[in-house]
Amino acid sequence: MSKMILGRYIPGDSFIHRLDPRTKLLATFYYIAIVFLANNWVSYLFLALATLAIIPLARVSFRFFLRGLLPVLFLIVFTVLIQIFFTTGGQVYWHWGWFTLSSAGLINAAYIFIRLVLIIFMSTLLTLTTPSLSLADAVESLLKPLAAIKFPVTEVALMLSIALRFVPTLMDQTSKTMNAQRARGVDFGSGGLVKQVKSIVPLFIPLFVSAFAMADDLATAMEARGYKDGYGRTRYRVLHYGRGDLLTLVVMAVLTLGLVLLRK
Amino acid sequence: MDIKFDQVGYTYQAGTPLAAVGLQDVSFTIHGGDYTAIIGQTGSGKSTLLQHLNALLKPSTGTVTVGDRVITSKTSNKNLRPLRQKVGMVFQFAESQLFESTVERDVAFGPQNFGVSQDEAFALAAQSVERVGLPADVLQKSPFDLSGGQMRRVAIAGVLAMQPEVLVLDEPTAGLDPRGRREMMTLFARLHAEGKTVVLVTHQMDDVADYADKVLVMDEGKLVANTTPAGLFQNPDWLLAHHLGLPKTTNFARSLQNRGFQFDRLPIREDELVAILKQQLGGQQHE
Repeated sequence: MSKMILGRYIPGDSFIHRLDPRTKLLATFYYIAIVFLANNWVSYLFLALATLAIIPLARVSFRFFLRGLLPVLFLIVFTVLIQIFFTTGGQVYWHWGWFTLSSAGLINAAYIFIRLVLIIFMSTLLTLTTPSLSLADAVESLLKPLAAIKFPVTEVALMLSIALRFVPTLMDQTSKTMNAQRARGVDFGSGGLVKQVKSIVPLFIPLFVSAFAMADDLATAMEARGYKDGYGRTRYRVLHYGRGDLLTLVVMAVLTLGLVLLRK
Repeated sequence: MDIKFDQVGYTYQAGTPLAAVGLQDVSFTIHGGDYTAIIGQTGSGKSTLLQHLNALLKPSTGTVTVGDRVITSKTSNKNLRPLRQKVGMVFQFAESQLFESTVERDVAFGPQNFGVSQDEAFALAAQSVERVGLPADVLQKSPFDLSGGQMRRVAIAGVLAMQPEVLVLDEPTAGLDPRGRREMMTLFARLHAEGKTVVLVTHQMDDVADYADKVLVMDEGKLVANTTPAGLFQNPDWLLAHHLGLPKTTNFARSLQNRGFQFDRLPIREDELVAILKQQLGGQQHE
């Protein structure tokens, strides 16, 4: 699990940590959208420098960002290779069957590479600095207008936060169960395919059983404390925008303006 | 079969900013046939220590020797089965490891993994189920139809069926009713009398006093005492400083001491206390 940095919060009290989760969520999506405005070296350079200036604000070691690339490394390499070999145009350096190595291909590959890395850096920034429960709160708050068309916003938000809440619990349960079955002689991740699939059964059945038991307990506990539905409830964590959020808005506006001016 | 820890250290998530020390410079020896209790407050490193006994965790520094098997940070994950067969481990809330369609198949799961034939494994299952005090007719039932206490017994039977030389028990009686607790502790004492090495993690000081020959005290990942229960419980203030308590008997003897009774050594078991009190109170012997 140590490799899966996506979705892992690093506690801190930096400027980015203190931003409203709604701002961070919207800004991240907005950033991903405007990345596609860049279409030449100058605009990509501008975007990369801006991103590298924003990242240190989180005061999280840069290694976490690099590690965030690992899970999607295959995707990046694959996309870059496709771009290199299948884009035609510009000067052709090498040609074999369907494969063409051309200057346009190399440039396109470099652009795509930068684009993907920047997008992943920015989403890693969001997940490293925002606890998943805050993200769920942000989603709920942003979905609120949909209540007008009878969309069950609070229920969906509750399901989302319960699901997130139980991820660490289930991971914990998984490692406990794996240990218990290892102690009874199971070798996870070794042997042939059939053997490996078979070794899943002693892991998954106890997991399902405990997940259902936990769900049952949680439902009882919620009812015992008078839970009916989410409407009209007050919140423990109240979201409110601050000066930092205004600043983020300004930064995003400047980024957009810069990209529009620099692109061809 | 001796178990030896030599300057064992373990760091969780080593090499990341989230690294956390689990064990630090832990050295001790458990001799074959010992009944060793491990105590310490929650988070003191007891469970981390236990997982080193059958190489579920490998030491970051130092060496663990179990019988003739030496485990270091460089030990490969392959070929650990013989070790795991010799060191049977009953985890906390062991009933959550059950998964098979019948009790018989679940209990036989361990032995079969260690290469025992199905017939033999079923025979071992029948034996082990009887050992833990369950009627033979549960063998064909689903483990999920049993009560929580019975499920715990099935899980313990599943470990006994592996015929381990060392039995490692992580709070095996937590959540059981008083009678179930007593029966389980008696069972472990009997297995110990038959020659098995027992390692028990517990928060029950009475169990430490009543059953263990040796006791290891863990605090913040370090081994802070390696002694006998009789020695340990002479030192109530030290125990309180490490967030631990006294057995009921010792506590009672201490109150008596404050009211003027004389004790050369604080008794830790009921029979000891009774003998001393008889002596001091005199009075008539009723045969």
